[in-house]
Amino acid sequence: MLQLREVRYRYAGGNRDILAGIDLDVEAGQVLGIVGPNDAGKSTLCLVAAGLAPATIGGRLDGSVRLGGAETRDLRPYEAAQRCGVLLQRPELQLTGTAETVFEEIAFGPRNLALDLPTVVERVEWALAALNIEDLAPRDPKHLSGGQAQLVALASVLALRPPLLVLDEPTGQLDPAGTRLLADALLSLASNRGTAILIVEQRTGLLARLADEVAVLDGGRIVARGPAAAVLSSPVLDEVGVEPPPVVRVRRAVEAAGLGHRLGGLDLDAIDRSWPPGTADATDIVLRRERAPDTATGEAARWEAVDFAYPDGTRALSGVDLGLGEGAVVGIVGQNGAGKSTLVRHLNGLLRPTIGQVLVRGRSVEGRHVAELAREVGLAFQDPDRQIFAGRVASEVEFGPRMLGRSGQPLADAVRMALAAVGLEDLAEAVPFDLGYAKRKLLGIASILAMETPIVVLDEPTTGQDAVGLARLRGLVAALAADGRTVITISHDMRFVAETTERVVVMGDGRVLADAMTTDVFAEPGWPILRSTFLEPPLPARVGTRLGLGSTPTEAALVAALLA
Amino acid sequence: MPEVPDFLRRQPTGFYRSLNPATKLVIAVATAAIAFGVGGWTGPLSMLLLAGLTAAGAAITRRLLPYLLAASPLVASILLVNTFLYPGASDPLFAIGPFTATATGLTAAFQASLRVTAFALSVAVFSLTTPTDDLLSDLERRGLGRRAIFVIGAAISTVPRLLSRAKEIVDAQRARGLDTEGSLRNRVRGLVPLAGPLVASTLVEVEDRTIALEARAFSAPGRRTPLRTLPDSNVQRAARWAIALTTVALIALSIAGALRLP
Ligand SMILES: Nc1ncnc2c1ncn2[C@@H]1O[C@H](COP(=O)(O)OP(=O)(O)OP(=O)(O)O)[C@@H](O)[C@H]1O
Ligand SMILES: [Mg+2]
Repeated sequence: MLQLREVRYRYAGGNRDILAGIDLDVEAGQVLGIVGPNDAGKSTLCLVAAGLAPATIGGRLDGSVRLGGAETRDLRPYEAAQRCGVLLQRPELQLTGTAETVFEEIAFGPRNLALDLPTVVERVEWALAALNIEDLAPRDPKHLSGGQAQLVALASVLALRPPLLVLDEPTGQLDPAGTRLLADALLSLASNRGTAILIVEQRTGLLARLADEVAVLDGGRIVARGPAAAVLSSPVLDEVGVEPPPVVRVRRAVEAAGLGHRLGGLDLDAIDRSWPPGTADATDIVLRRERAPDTATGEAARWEAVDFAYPDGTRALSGVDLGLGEGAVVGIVGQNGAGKSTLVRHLNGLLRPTIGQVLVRGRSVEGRHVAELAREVGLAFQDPDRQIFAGRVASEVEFGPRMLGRSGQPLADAVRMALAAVGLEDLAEAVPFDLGYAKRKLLGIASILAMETPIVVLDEPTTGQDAVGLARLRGLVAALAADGRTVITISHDMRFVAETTERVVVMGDGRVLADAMTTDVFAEPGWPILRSTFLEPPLPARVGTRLGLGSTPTEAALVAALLA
Repeated sequence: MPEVPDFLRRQPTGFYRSLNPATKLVIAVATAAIAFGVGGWTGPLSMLLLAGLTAAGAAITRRLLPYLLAASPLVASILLVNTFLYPGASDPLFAIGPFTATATGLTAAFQASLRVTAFALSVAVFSLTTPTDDLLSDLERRGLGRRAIFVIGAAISTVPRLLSRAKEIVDAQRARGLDTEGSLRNRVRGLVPLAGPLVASTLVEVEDRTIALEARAFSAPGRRTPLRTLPDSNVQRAARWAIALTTVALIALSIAGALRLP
């Protein structure tokens, strides 16, 4: 279906080969996972495999790329599109911009292929159902949450029903339930329709479940390839800087402590896979609140009976009451569209409550300008491309502190500190839009750090990050916490939340469903709250429960509990 | 057999909205053409009135503001240049420094501004009442090729897309301490750091959009499947021809000097 031979590619004006000699095959019905550190060339590989180079994206392509037997060089863009459906890394880019509803957005591809109307409708409905987003059909695609936009972009590609699918980090912003649905949909496409699938993912746990084979890409070359289970547990992942799947990590952590025998009777893969589907509608659940102990210091942020509706009438928050103490390190979790991003945008006045009020460090935000609140709240956006605007990395980072009145040496120091904190110190002169997605994400965070605000909000910081990036972000949250700052992290990565936060706020359907210590949220018997919002506790927590060890949300906690 | 969901069969409400997209397009083009092509006050004033009334009828008056704002720099410069620098005018009104305002210039300035405003309004009324996709489907049904459709579609969606990108940039900058709220001075100051990024990201955006559309087979041959049929009628067809011919005739007469209007 897809065949690459000796493929080399460099972007127009680039001075090195981003793909440096790639040989690769994907057969009908086969799922090939691609993993690799940031800048390995994964997204470029996707564009090239989809036949978009050089016809659509320019640059120089050497070697042979064959789609369904034909050289992509000889194919027109639409012919390539019929042979291969591609999901780009940033879903917002995938949308047409002219469709008024999600339904029309998804119908765009099938309509272009001039299929008859009943078939078009059937395809759209099938794609909506496969990802469980029927509710979104009448919505405006320009006004969706990050995860919802990603689901719609995915549905748009699925509706083309191409013989080959190329997916660039399709689950980057999806909640765990969406991720599972996607995996089911892809597996059924592969086995029932013989669809060939090339999927790039940082979530190796997903590939363990989905992929037949996994190839490791590093520096534009494939450095390892083999059956998924073998590659995903081999040391090569650590060597190139890719996180192994949870099952592998948990087993390794336990074995490293000499406790391997304690896992003897357990089938970790089965535990990982057997998470039951969400039980109740978030609206059915009995509200349960456990106030985390209030800190002795003042309050960093408070939402008082806040309701919020977007101008188009979408109700995104209802009756939110929440207080966060100064210096708290809080994770906000919840399914796609739960209202997480909406909630934090109230802190710096980008959104104003329809009803109720919001206080930042004890003072109402009413009547205060966004620019004034920026001194207290630094918010790193979910979509870095909505945040980045400068033509140079250093100017981007400089903007905030300069506006806050810093100049000269203190300004230079702030910029250097922020870039170093996210590992971009060598790229100060680079052009932001030339960086890969993961680095743009880090740049967005750096530009907030440079402002040295007492409250730091990170919206989905881990999207697209490799092992190095993840470790850096964990360190960053810890350092901010140690510095006494209030850190609010929104994330679908339950492991990241478990490892970095002390308190978790669970949101569902615009409401706060739970607010409790992290260890408690992940240790509830049966996890009713998490299940009602389609979330999943991290694997160590589930293993700990199975072994009757109490609350073990992280690998370290699991090992400690086993030792005790 | 699967059917298009109800919300897609939305019936446009009101007379103007429910016209066929091509009819609305002809009206918009005619309005703009007459505003520019028919000399004196009558052309621009009547067209401005027409566009204003249509907007009121379609209940979109409150959404016209961005379009008027977009036209405002042009209007301002037209006013200044004509009032003070009208070539050959010799009826001075008052002077500011070395510049003298003339009555001829002032008249020309106001007329030209009215024309530009009428133009902006006719564009606004059309695009606010016509879903882009409807227009494209209709033009396609009339035999326009995909390339042309693509260019038209991209052009029409540029304005709203630029507006939303501008809002994103402003939000990002405000969130990092640039004050663009409150006083007029703040607001104007906020425009300066906006310009560069807006141009740059528009270029990136055009490239990305091409990738996205190509990847979804937009350039495939054949006629795209229409999702719904758009109303049209013999009356509308006749009206389109009548409007087009009248417009051409009016402009021709005006240019030839045969039309003596105030
Ligand atoms: N600009 C907008 N206009 C209208 N509705 C919106 C807009 N942005 C978000 N929404 C809607 O508001 C609700 C909450 O969205 P929000 O972005 O806060 O979700 P989220 O929890 O951050 O989701 P995700 O995990 O997908 O990022 C959703 O139903 C979403 O579709
Ligand atoms: Mg969000």
